[in-house]
Amino acid sequence: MTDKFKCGLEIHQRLDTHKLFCSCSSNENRDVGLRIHRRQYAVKSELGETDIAARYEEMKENEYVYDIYDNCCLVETDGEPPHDVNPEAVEIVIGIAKMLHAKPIDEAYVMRKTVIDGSNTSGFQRTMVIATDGYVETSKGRVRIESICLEEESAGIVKRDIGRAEYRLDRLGIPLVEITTAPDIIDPDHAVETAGKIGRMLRMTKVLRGIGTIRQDVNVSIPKGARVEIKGFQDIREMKKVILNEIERQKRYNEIIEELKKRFNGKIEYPFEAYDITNIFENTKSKLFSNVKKGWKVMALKMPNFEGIFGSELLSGYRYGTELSDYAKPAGVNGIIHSDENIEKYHLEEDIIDQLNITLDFPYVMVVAPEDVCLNALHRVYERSLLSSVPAETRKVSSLTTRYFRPLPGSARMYPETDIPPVKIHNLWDKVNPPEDYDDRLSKLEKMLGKELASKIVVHPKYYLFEKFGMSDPKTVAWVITDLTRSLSRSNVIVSDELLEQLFKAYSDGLLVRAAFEDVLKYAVENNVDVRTAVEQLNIKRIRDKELEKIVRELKNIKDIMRKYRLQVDPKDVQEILKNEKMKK
Amino acid sequence: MEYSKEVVALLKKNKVDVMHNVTVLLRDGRKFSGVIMQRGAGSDDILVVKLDNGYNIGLNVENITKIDDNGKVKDKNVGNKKDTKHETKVVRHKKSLVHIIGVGGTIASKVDYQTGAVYPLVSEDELLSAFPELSAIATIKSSQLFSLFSEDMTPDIWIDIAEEINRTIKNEKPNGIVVTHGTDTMHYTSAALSFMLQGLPCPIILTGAQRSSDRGSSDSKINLLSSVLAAKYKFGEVAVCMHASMNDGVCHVHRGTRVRKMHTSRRDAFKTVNGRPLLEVDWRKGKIIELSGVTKPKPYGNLKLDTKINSNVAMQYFYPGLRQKDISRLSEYDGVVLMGTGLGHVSTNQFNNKKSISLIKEIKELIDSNIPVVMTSQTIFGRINLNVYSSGRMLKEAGVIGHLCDFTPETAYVKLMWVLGHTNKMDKVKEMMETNIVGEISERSEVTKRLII
Repeated sequence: MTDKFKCGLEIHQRLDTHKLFCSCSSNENRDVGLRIHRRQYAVKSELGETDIAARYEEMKENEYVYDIYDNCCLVETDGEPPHDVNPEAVEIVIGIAKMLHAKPIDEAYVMRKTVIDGSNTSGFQRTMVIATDGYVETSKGRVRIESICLEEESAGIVKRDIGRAEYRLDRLGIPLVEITTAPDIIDPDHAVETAGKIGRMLRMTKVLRGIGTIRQDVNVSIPKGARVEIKGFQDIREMKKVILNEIERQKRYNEIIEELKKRFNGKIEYPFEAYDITNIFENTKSKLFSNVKKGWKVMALKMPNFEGIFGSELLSGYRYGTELSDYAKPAGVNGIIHSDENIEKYHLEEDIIDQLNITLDFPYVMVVAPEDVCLNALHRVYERSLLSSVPAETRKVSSLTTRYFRPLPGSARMYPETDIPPVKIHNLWDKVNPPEDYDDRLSKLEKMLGKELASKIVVHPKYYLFEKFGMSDPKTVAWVITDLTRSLSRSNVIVSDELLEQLFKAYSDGLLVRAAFEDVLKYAVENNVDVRTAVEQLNIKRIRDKELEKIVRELKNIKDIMRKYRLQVDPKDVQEILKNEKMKK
Repeated sequence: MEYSKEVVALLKKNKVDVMHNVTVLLRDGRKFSGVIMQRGAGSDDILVVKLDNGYNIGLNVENITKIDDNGKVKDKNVGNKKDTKHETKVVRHKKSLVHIIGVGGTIASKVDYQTGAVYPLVSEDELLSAFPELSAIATIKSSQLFSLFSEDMTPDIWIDIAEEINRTIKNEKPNGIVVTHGTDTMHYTSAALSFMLQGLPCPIILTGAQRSSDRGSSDSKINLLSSVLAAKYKFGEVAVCMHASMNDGVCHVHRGTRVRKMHTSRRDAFKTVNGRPLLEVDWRKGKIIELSGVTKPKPYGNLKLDTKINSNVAMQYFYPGLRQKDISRLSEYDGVVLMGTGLGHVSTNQFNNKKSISLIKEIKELIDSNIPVVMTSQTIFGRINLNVYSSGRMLKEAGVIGHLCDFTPETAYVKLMWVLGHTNKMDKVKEMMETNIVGEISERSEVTKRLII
């Protein structure tokens, strides 16, 4: 229990370079229709005392299926040892470390961090510390950065059933930077600010963009509550609400525990008594119990003093029963039924409900599953119901609240990866230039482009095009990169970087006017031609000099000229000519 | 590996040592607390520290100003080479006894999670505590003969293994024997044991791992389980049992004289050359399917240990540019296996091209000085035929052995040693080499859809 709100962040960001330990692309790709079936075992020292036969059975039942994509080679399948560490990934992380004022580790070692859920074909995730002891400035003070690591992305989960999990291997091995802050964050707003600031800084470097490319985990200690690690934020905008809900959940959870303590006269204590009530359900037509015919059991745990507790809300729609249910699920059940529920919703026959009510005349939690799963699940429910304080654990974000995910990671089981030689960070450190500072770039751009356009382009993925072509007419170039390509993409015209380069080149060569950009790009994409060809075929080459002077003499009035030659004439050219003519007169 | 003088001096100065909890202070003001590790693969002036969060980092001695000692690490937490003994209740089935002999490789090894160093599983208890499932399928006895890297094996060591197997069979009359072996040269050992142990009363199954046992994804457990299952099967041959595909599905059991490692790292690297695997083992169902005819087991008394070999045999790869002197040089050996091209060729320069050469004279000289020369093919798959091209005919005429044989180059090499241990008469050598003894030669090349099954 803590008395002060304390919060730290762990930010994972995918890097824009090929995979960390092979030369496969980091872009998620096409499923090649090939699958491999594997098994994994908890390595010996992680196991408690278990029955041999049971372990043999368990080993038979747990299968991992891996879908192979065209950006996978034998390394991802654990069919070939890792290649050397991708040097570009190391350089990007060094750049990030410099930006965060961190200091290098002299020699970095790749470590194997044991994972047992099959999310890595090797059975471990490879990771290395590159730098430590940095900081980021925020409006509420300095937030220290404890470590900056380079690690490999895990495989993506496709489907999880009892005893079987399916993963996609396209993600596996994509380089990730992991930034861990100290618990220096003082409130939920501050967490959002810090995550946002680090996120913006990361976008100043070569990182991947788009959904899933950045993930924030929050470590939060709540006054009178517990430390929880919250995973799975999709968007930092939801961070504040989730943290506030978590504070509320813990507060209500505490109140329920206090109420239970009162009912139990102190310590929550009662014997584990499970009832096999399968026979009651042998003839029901209720779908929920259909597996009883296949030999599944229905078992109930007697939970004295819990009447009304199961149905108590911790958050709107989230009850104490939900807590127990989430905790029981890892045993292999789909959920629990408790005595505060209206049993009729399970479409049970009247006589069965009567029989149930006679048999279980006490508060209970009931599960339907194979016998060992039932017992396991009820033991988990029992274990959680005895808690005398809110438990510390890892939780996962689910529609702005958090749900039980797994226990907090213990002292990480890490040991050296012997297949990869050490990386001398010191030698590389001085060679890497720190990325431009976000605030410096923003203020420079604001002077050039004004606030709105500057904020749009500052960390835009195509910012490099602005650097390259933006000098002569920054506003136009920034507008094309941000607004024009976006509005074109809405009508399904996807403009490649190459085409944009051609456009900027043609524009600076005086080949076309700004008003023609949209038509030219559209035509070039639709007909798969380059910009110059598009201009020629559309016949909208810029008109200037003698030719324009002739038009000006003919039409005289700028309005009429622009009406007729909008796509070919720059109004500034017309004004110039008109001005010159006036002067001549 | 030992630390350099600089690091040792620094440790001495601060009165600390490896496996001590320390706080290291750096010139730049940073502080790291952790444990000083043994030196790994790092550079000379680097001290390796395991941080409290598990990461190892390397710190340059020049950047370290002070190291505070927080006491020696208790054996329990760090650097403990002996795992705390896992209580294993052994279910003794009376019917099947399988004896596991360890000779090396990552399959029967455990890792020290602190240093990453690998140690062999020495005792029966250790093996069973690492693979407790084994005792669910057979009574397991085990012994560690020695622990060697695959590439450190020699013909003399093959003899030691053969003798150990012979002893074990005589003393224990097991249902089968499993040999855990490094994978790189496992097919040489399996071929050698095939010739040295004839009239087998039970299967001798060699197995290994392509992924080390420290990881959850290791193939060791399934290979070992499948090997024990195969060792219970009634046949009398030396065989290799490894993954059949990239999946952790079924395993294949390959004839010891037919098998070859065909990939550097895949789990299914071992393949039967010129034939089908003997058995398919479904370790989940405990089911075994025969894929080709196996040799029936003989009575225990029929086992004949015959380790007479002459290991003064050379293997020579032929390649464009191989010179005459490269062949003449082989006269110091008592026998030569050539890995020729295609159907079994070396250069003979039929068209008298000035830039080409013929090796016929040199090969003939070897044979004339009573050094048998055996032809095999670097294509690995297929049969030698010295009748098709004139270069082949010239080699045959010169007395090269191996026409119509389909053994692998490695098996031919092992067999030649064994044959030369029994005779040095050229015509006898030729007869023995070209006659099938333990399944290494077949007369028919079976038609199969794919090259590799």
